[in-house]
Formats: sequence, C-alpha cells, structure tokens
Amino acid sequence: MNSPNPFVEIVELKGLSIRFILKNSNTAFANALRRIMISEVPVMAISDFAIINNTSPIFDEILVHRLSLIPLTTDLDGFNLPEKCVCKGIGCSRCQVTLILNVKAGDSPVTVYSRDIVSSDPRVIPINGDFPIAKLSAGDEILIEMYARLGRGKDNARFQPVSACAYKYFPRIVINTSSCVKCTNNGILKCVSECPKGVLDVNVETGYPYLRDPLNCSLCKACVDVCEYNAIELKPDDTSFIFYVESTGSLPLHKIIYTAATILAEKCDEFLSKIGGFR
Amino acid sequence: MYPIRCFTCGAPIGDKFEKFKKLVDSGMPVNKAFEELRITRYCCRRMLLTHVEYIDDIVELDMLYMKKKYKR
Repeated sequence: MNSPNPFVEIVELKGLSIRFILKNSNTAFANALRRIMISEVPVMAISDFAIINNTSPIFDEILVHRLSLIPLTTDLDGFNLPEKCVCKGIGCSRCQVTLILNVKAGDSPVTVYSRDIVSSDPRVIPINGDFPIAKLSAGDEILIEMYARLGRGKDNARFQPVSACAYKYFPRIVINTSSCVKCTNNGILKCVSECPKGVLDVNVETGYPYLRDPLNCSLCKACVDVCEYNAIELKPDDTSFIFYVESTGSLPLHKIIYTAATILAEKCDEFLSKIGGFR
Repeated sequence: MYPIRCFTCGAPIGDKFEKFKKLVDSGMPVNKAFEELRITRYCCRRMLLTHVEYIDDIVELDMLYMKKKYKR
C-alpha cells in the first residue's frame, strides 16, 4: 500500500487523439479507467424523435438511426443525466435539448447535412456540419423534432465519447552483457535487424542493443527468439501503461479522462460506504 | 448512404466521404488521401474503400416513378 501515487505523462496530444503513459499504477486501475471511458462517461446524443413529415427515399428508421449517431458537442456541467434530474427523466431544460431538422427540396435533389439541424441550445450542436444525413428528390420534405439527452455508452453506442480507447504494457528490456556476444548479420546486430517495429538500436558507446523507442514496441519478442545466447530479456512492466484514446469530438480528451477518473472515485466511495460496517 | 460512424470503432467518418471522393477523383493516391483526412486505422479505411454509393440512383428512380404514382 506504500507504492507512490500514480501519475500521467502525456506523450502526444494531436487533435482528437492522445497518447499518455500511466505510471505507478496497476492493471486493475488501468482497465477500470479504460472501461469507464468507453461505457460510463456521459455524452449528449439524440435519443427521441418525432417524425412529423418524411417523404424522402430514406426510411424513417434509417433516418433516425443516422441522426442518432451524429456526435453532439456536450456540456457536462450544464446538463443532468435524465435519471438523476429533478424532473425524474420526464424531460426538462436541465436534461434535454430540442433540435429541429426542417429541409424542403425544390425542383432538384438536395442533400441534407448535419448543418441543417437547428438546436434550441447553442451548447449542443453537431460537432461537424458536414455529415450527410439524407438525400431528397424534388419536392421532398423532412420535418423532424429531436430530443437530445445525456446517456452512457453502456446503453447505446451513440453515447460513447471515445472511438479507439486502448492500453498496452510499457516494455522493459534487459540486456545481459556477460552473455551477449554482439552477434551480427550483414554488419547489423541480429536482434536489431530482427525487430519488425524497428524500435531497437545499437548503443554507440557500448555496442550493445537498447530500446530506442519503447512506445512503439509491441512486445512481440522477436529479438528474444533470435538471440541464441539468451542475453535479451523483454518483459511487460505491469506498473506502467501506454494509453491511446481517441475522442469522437463531443467531449475534449482531458474532460473524458478526468470524468472517467471522477466516476471511478465515486464508485469506490459508494462501495466503501456500502461495506462500511465491515471495515 | 455513407454510414455516419465506423462500424468497428465508432469513429465519426460520415463527414469524410465526400472529401475523400473529391481527393481521389482529383488523382490523389488512396493512401495519401487517408493521410490527408487523418484516417489511420484499417477499420475506418475499409469503410471508405469498400463503400458503394447508390443513393443517387435511388433518388433518380424516386424522381422518375414514385412522384407520378403518389402525388404528395
């Protein structure tokens, strides 16, 4: 229990994707964080529809499915989850946003885009106006009233704030210098040339191989297999994890990770309070 | 119509199909177009590569036949 506190080291933050290392942690925590990011961080999505008019060649069900999958920008502090709202899930301005899609085609076909959706709340709008929703032939009309609410990824994929969300172990490599003979193949160390990811390199001073790019090592152990002298040891470090998280755009990445950690803490508190009598 | 999200990972890709088509039609190699649109995983790439867009044909048919039959 005296292990140092876990901390996060951001390696790369590029647009909607982040790569970070979670250090001084363990598999249980890393996996809990990953699962909560996927299935428990609430996000806004359209979930109820009132189709008033749809004469387009796209069926109502398909239209509704497409509309529901469009990611909406989310303000987590401004809205409540419907089941936790004061209105008890009936739908009020604190847990629900109304959006209207009203498009009418003239004499030629028209493509309906997500930019045509009019929201009653400027905080909740489609992340991007370029999503094609439907195509109308001449004279067709679409008039739909939509209700967006917060939801969780475990209920429906539309409420998932992340697309790719994964972690892997941090690699630790140990070279046994007493048994390594620096065997070469065409002038390159055998283990270095064998690595399919090209993450091993030769230390210029000592001549021994070393792990130049640990983030891209996939722990395939090709270098261990090719070594005839058992001089390389490659092991996953089960206290450090390389995370890769990609947001769908509805929530910023730091908010997703922070909210996931908060939800995990709340769950732990709830658990402790429930077993409180046994402590 | 082109799907809004990748079937496998759930990344929003619906907005990228028209851009992708424009880039590829202008003569850009497919892998360059993927880099340009920042589509890195092969699940999202196959969505763009294998999609057959036939909504325009449906709209055309709709214009030809449906409108005569059901006057709306």
